[in-house]
Amino acid sequence: MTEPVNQKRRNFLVAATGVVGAVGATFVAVPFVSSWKPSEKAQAAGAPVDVDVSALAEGQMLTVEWRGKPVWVVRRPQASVDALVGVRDNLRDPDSAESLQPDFAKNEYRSLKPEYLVMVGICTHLGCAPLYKPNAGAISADWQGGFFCPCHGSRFDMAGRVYKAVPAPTNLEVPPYRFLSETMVRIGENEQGVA
Amino acid sequence: MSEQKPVDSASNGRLLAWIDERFPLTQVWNEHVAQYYAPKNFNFFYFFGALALLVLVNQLVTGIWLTMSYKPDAQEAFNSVEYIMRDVEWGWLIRYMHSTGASAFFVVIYFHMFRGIMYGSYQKPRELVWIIGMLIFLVLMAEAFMGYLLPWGQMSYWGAQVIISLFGAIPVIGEAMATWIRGDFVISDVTLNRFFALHVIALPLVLVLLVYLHIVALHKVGSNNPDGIDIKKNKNELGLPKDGIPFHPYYSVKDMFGAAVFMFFFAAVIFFWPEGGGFFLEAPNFEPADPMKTPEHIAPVWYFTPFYAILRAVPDKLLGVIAMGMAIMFLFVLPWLDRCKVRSIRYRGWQFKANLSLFVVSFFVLGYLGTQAPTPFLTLLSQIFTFTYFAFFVILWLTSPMEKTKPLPERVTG
Amino acid sequence: MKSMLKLVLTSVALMVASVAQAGGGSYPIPLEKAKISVLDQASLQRGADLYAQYCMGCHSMKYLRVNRAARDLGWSPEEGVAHFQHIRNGQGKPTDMIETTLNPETAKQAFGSVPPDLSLQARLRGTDWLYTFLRSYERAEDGTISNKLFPGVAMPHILEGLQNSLPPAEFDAAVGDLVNFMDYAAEPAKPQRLMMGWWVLGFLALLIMLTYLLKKEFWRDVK
Repeated sequence: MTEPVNQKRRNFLVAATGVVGAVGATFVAVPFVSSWKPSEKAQAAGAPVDVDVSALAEGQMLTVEWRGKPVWVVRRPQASVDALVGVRDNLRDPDSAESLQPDFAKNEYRSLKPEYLVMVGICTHLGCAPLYKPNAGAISADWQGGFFCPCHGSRFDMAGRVYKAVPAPTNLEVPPYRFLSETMVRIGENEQGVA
Repeated sequence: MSEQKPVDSASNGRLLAWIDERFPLTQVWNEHVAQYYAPKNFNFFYFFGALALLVLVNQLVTGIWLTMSYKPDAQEAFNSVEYIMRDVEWGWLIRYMHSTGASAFFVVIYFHMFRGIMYGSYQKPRELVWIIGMLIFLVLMAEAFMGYLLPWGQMSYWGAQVIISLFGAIPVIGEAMATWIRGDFVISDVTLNRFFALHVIALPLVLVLLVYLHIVALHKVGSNNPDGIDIKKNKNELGLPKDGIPFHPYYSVKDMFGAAVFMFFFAAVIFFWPEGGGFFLEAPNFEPADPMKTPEHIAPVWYFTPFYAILRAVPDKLLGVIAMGMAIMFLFVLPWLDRCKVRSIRYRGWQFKANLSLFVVSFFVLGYLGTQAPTPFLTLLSQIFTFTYFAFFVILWLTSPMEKTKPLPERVTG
Repeated sequence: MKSMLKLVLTSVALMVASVAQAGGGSYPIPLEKAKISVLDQASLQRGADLYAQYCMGCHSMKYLRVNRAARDLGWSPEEGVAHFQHIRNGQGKPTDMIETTLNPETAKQAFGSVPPDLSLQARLRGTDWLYTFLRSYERAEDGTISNKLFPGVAMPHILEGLQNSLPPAEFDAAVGDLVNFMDYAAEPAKPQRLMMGWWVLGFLALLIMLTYLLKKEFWRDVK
């Protein structure tokens, strides 16, 4: 060891190799991490679903499957829509501030068109399937019509908004959707594109 | 107590002390890395041990990821591989890393074995290092063979068909044994399932254990070197070998460089030449397995072809199988066939140099012949080179005691 | 040993050379090289349309998803449906695989065998084979049609109309486009793979340089 070690140069090279090596390791990790994302096949299976609502009578509900979840389409009579304002004070989140929905559904009736309610049929409490109870008085004397979860008694109004003093924390989720025509609804896709 | 806050290194030290009281971390680190003295004259051929470890890790990680999307089912296997290639994000890259890694593994291992023969690394006291290494080679061949069935293409299917049929050559119990291995009368879903289990769980466990033993045995006796002389004979006043340097940092930085160069070539194949000219991914394997239709020309993957050529060179089925087995078994007993006192080719007589050259040529020619459809001329060629392949071991045994060797240096050279 | 290393490397080089030569295989006529590149998107688009027009009636590409192909060829998912599924009268979805409407039973009666799926033919046969095959049909004076590369092939000369309407060079180019698309279909990740490769190699070259300097620096201690 005749010549002295240039410790500065050595430290620099160790650091430089370390940094470049770490960057390389990150690059290598990317494919392995990304491969866990939904594959093209899963995305194809979760592709938007088109629903024809022309046969849906007033007050009726139909259920379709989208990404393995039940999605409801309800055709609300005008009376039900008008009644929505009346229950405001009993609701936990009447303006849907803390609930999941596309921006277009952040309104009193939580839908694109007041007549059609499109919603994910899964209770926001623990994932049960609430029941559609449109008739007043169906659950209790003061029941105005809406959705009732049989598991733990959560109650929602005709716009899927949750009542106070029930276990469910937020309103029922509204999926992205758009109208292809007057009576064709595409679930899983906004005007902006696929969810 | 008004002590200052401990600085980081001190708290690291405390953590280390805590661990060391319970687990010999520092001791293991020093024994196998920081104070493992390796000869300072390692050359090109000494990269391949570390590279084999790198490829092993690559195969394990990519393999685990492939099992996440692969389906070991005769109906679904082929489709699931295409699913990985097309639908899984980056699946193609992970699959190419695994398929190219299989070939890279054998390239690296063959270099590593050749190094051992060239520098006499199997000689006393490293016989066990060599034998464990040969066991690794054997398990690796089984691992590669079973893995090759999984894509369930035509070549997968018929390659496995041919190799398993070899067991039928064993007298009396042969046919029953082949059926037992398949679990069916032909290669089927059952075979695929058991090969999958062995390929992804059983053999990798054995492989990792053997690699561990290989390293433990090596570090017990110390590394050989291109001069084949014992560095432990020349120690300084501290009791350290004068020609030895600590593995870390000297060989860790050198192996990093080797790994970077290796990865460059590895990536070049993956991104620009993944089929490897039909040797890494064979064209007939892009057609799903069809038990009713044999491809025109079946050849095993390149790393098996030298042994396959030996099998075909012998006109009798049973003797062919025996010859193929012997071709590998002879390698196991090399430490006792070689009776020369000198290890390295650098100081050995012309007999060894000529003999080893002939062996290398035989291995390559046989490897080439194993890829070709047999013609009378090529069969004759493979018989000649099968003879020279085996002649290596006999000549080695006969000539090694009387080789005219050069005097060994006192210290390692360049 | 240097000489040993040389011996090994020469052997490897000789092997690769001889095998590469032998790679031609034994075909009735020599294969012609298809000068194509999956990085040529316009060529892939033309090839896709040729496939949809001439091949898709009988041959599926069951591993290729319409929206995936559309994305790689620079089309929107809806355009993809339009390009690949006109024979389905617009009933197709972007997430469909490219299937044929031909019934396998009908095909067996008409041709004697079911036309193979084309997803992986380019990797099974090779692009040169496909290029040569599609250009090796001949009509004899008595009107019978044969293929010089694949005598007795069940497939009719489907591109005959195209061949007669184009000058030979343009027909060759069209077949090249078609084969190019088949090459893409056999490995949709190929364009991405080829483009990424250079970045990876560049990065590794940097790593080689750094680790080399690092090794040199530390080994100054070793005398």
